[in-house]
Amino acid sequence: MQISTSYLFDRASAQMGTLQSDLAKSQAQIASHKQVLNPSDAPDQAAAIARLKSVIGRQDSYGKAIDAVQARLQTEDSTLKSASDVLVRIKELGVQANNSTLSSSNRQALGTELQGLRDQLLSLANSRDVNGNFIFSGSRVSQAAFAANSTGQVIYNGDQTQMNVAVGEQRSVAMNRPGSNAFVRVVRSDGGTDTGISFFQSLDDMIAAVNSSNSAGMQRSLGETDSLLQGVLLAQANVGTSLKVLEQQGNVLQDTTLTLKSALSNLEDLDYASAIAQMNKQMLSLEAAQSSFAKISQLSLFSYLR
Amino acid sequence: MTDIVAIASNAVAAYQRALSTTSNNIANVATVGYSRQEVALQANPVIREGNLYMGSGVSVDFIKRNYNAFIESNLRNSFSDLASQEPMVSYANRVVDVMGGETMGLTSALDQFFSSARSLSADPASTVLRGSFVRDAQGAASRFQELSSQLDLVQEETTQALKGSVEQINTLTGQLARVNQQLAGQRTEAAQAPELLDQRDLLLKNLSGFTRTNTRFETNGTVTVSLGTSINTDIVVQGNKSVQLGTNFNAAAPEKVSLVLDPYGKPSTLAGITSGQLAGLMAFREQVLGSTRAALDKLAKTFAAEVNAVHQGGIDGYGNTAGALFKFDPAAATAAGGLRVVFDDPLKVSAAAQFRVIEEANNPGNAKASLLYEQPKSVGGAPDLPLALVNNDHPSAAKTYTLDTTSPYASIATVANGMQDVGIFLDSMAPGQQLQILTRDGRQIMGTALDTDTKQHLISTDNGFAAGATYSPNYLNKSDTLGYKGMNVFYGAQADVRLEPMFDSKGIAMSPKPLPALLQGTRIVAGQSLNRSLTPPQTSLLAAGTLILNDVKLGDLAPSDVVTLQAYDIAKWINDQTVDKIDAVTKVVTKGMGHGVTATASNEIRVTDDQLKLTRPLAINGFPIPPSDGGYASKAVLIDAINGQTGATGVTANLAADGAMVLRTTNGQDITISTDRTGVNTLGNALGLAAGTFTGSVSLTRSQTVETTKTDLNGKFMIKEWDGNRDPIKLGFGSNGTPTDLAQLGFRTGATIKGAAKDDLLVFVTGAGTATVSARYAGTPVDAKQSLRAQPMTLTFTSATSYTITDKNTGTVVAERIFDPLKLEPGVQYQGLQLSFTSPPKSGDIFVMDNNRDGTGNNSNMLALAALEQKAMVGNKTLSGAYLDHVNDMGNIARQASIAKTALKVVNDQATVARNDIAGVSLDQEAADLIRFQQAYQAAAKVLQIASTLFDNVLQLR
Repeated sequence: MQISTSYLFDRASAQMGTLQSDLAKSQAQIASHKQVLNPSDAPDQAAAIARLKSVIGRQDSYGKAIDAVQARLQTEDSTLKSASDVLVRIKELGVQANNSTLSSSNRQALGTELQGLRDQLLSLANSRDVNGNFIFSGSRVSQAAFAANSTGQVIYNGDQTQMNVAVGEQRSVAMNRPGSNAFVRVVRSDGGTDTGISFFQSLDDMIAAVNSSNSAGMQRSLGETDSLLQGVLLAQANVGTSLKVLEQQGNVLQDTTLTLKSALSNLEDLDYASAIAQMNKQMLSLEAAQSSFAKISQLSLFSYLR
Repeated sequence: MTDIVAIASNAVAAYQRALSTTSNNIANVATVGYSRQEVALQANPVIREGNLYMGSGVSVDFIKRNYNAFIESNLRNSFSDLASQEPMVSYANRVVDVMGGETMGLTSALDQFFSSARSLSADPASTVLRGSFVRDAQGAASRFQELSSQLDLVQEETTQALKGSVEQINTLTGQLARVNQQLAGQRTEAAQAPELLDQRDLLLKNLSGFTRTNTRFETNGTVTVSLGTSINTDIVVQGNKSVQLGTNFNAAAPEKVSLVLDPYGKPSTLAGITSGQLAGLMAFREQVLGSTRAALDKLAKTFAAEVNAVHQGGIDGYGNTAGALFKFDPAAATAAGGLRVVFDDPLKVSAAAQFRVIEEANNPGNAKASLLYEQPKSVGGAPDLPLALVNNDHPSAAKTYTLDTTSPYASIATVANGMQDVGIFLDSMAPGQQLQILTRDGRQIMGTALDTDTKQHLISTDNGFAAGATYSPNYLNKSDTLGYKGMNVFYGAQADVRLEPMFDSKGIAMSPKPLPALLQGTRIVAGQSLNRSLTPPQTSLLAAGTLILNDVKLGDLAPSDVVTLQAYDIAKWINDQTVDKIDAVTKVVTKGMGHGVTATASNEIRVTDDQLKLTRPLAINGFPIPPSDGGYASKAVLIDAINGQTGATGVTANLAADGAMVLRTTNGQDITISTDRTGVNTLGNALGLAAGTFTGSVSLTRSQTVETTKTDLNGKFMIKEWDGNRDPIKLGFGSNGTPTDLAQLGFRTGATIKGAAKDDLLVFVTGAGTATVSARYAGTPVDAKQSLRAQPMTLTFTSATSYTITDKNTGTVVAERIFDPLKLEPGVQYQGLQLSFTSPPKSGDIFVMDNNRDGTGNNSNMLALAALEQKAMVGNKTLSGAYLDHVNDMGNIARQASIAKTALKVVNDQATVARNDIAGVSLDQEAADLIRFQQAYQAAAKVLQIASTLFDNVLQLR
């Protein structure tokens, strides 16, 4: 077979061009520390990387949701803690007032303190978050959770909406408790019929009973205060459980993110050792091609024609 | 001696040519398309001298061009195939890099959008988060636009490349035609200048880089080139002519392009180009660019539709039903390029659900309720009214239903909530049949109260009732404040006040003038009579209280002095009860009860000209109309003849305005038509009517006068009681009345709703036998969800195991159901509203469900929006998944093209090597040739010298 002179040159330069572009690609990989420089180099791998990044991004946003819910729940928790402390004090005062040896003026002194505690509870129930939204109003966040109606009764003004926030792929946590679930009603049986009495109405009735030394009323109020305290404690326990869940979920998220990130690293990041070995190999073959071509191209019969 | 000189000089000349050919080869070592040339040396003819054959030297026979047609054709084809892969590889890679890139790709923008939705769901009242949600929505929309514009760029570039290729082809074919022209001067290819042939082959090879060609060579080397499947179709070069190629871009699908041959002469579309750069560009545009555009547009549409559906399902920060989040700019060429966010206002983001539940402050129970709305699954029952019955209440348009003993009812239609002015009419019913209209929760609106058996049959989910629906007749046939949600309904025969359009002197419409209502009956049932021979004797044809006229119960229909009931008997019976009566003797006025309603009996038979058979005889009420054997000269004669017998028959005849003949009785008495006196002859009568009795009809109207005087016990107040120009006439049913009773008097039974239906209503016919039903209706159904939102409802537990649902606006109890305390999630379902309870509610617990207008802190809708991220909405893939899969598919196409390119490169290299083998110039070989020919030349020159010496020797002989 005969090799024409121009073909000899063309082929050699084409081969060296290929080697050079391979080398340039290896160099770019090493410089960017990425396995896949352009999605077109490995479309399936690029797609897998994009998918993983989406999932990791989602975990991050769950993490942010956890932080937001945690902050909110901690506010609720401290509010409910204060409320339960106040209620314990109210109960003490109620027991004290129920003592038959107390004079009515002494009772009225207790009544004044009770009134102060009741007002403190009302302001706790109408707590707001950093954005100025009422935390116990359900979704009616711009309305005070508890306010007096036209007849002067303080009743729940919010709604029963409980907002669930997704804190994981399969996990969501209730972010709020309607005020009526924390500052609960009590059921009062009067002559066989049950009526629901709102939290603050019950307290107001107690104060009235203390002020008027109504012993039957005071007796009933003591029982009711237990229910009220029970309700607040239950809500507090509920918040505590949610906080615990959030903490666990946060750990789960961290683990998940770590696993996903190492998977991403496997796909995306370059193995320097093999990449550099590869580059050295490519450099060697390019050098060999260049030097052999330089030698071969000098071979010509014309060199011997003198 | 001269021979040697001749031989030597010939040889010198031949080797000089050989040397110059070799020099030419060396000179063209780098010339593209050059074919190596060789001199073909030939021994000169021998010369016979005596018995010897003497050689006479050498000469150049011809200069050979090293060329192989098969190898050239092979090279062209492999070059075409290789060139077709190049655009696919480079452009597809570019598309993949743009779409799959981390910053430019769609996934990062979608991730950001959904992540923003999740953040907002954690604090839906925050205006800051709402604002960033809007911005991220805009980000997603603009990412779609950017990708679309990148594809536009690629499209524009490939368009230019296509046009450039076509121009190149046109240049090359033009040059080929000129080469052909030069080649035409010689007869054989061997006689052609080798360089000209090289030029031809080079042009052909370059042409094949753009498109695969078919070629045919003539004996003199001229070439015919076609771009078609065979050499005879789509010829672009023939002889010294070439045909131009043009492009035709499709406006509807811009990525598609077709090639046109001879665009400025006789245009014809090129069938298809299989390889070459042009084919590669076209394949890229169709396979990659077109499908990518389509995929991106589909994603944009799906994304917008799904997000909008959720967004519109919620309420915004103002408490209003939210609109769409995304829209498409109609001016944009593609959906993806036209995706826009509808608003900038963060408060217009809909984060909240459209419903919520609030417990009453004084609930005795501790049950906590939560509410969810789910689009109700398709509910059973008859089809919607417009699908079931045509909008035409004439009996001729009625549909027939058959009821039998096994199913004593027929499900007719569902009147959807919001339909207007619905009327459903029952004709040719069997005795006892009734129209029954109920809500999905078993509230009966019209008809008669159902008996236990019918209730059990009727109220089932199969018939469209809600699960757990119970029956209630509380709203049966009641209107306005007493009616179901204030609806205005009537069951029976009803006539409204008529309105006469009025115009002023200039023809401008004024408010119409009311005319009193007119309830026109059809012919009464013939042959009704009291059977007094029964034991006990029949005392009435219609028992007292069967029918009610404008709230007045009508008494017994017991005509005392008739054998057969006539229309005027009915009119009298009604008037006796409704019209004021003045005692003839005492002049005392007894007030009638009918609020000014008067009844009139009439009997008219219309006979049109085409019915008349004037040759036949006629008898009316048994009296022959002379001449008794028929043969009336004209219609006028017949009329005169009938009027001549009025004394005996009581029937008059005259002509109506339209020319029809009308027979009348003065008081609505029956008219019997027969051919002769006995009625035996059945061969037809002069009127062309079926022989028989035509009964009269009854019409009810109201006097126009206004009755306003009603004094109360103290004689002080004037109360307007009724107004003939205002109030309708209503002939309804008493407790035992049936549509048959109305039909007996010639009146038609209908169930009518004035204004809107306020709920889905189920229409049934109960009884046995066949019945025909027709309907009229207007309006369109309202959106069920928004209708629910418009009506806050109260859920009241009447006991621990039962509850009612009340419409707060009207106080209507829309449902009464049994409650199962063991089933709490959901415990109550009503028209898509699903209420769940934490514990069983107690008797007396009340929950209010409303439209959540001020629930700005509600996040349900934003949660639903964030959940779209993982919803399979494109086939079984998520939005991002579908996008990435498409990019991957395109990447695979590019990779396949790349692999094909490598393989085809090998084929092309082999063809190149093969051509080089023959036609290539190797300098080593040329150097060898140079030495060889130089030595031969020198030797020949030496011969010449020797010959010269020899000649000199001879000359020196003295």
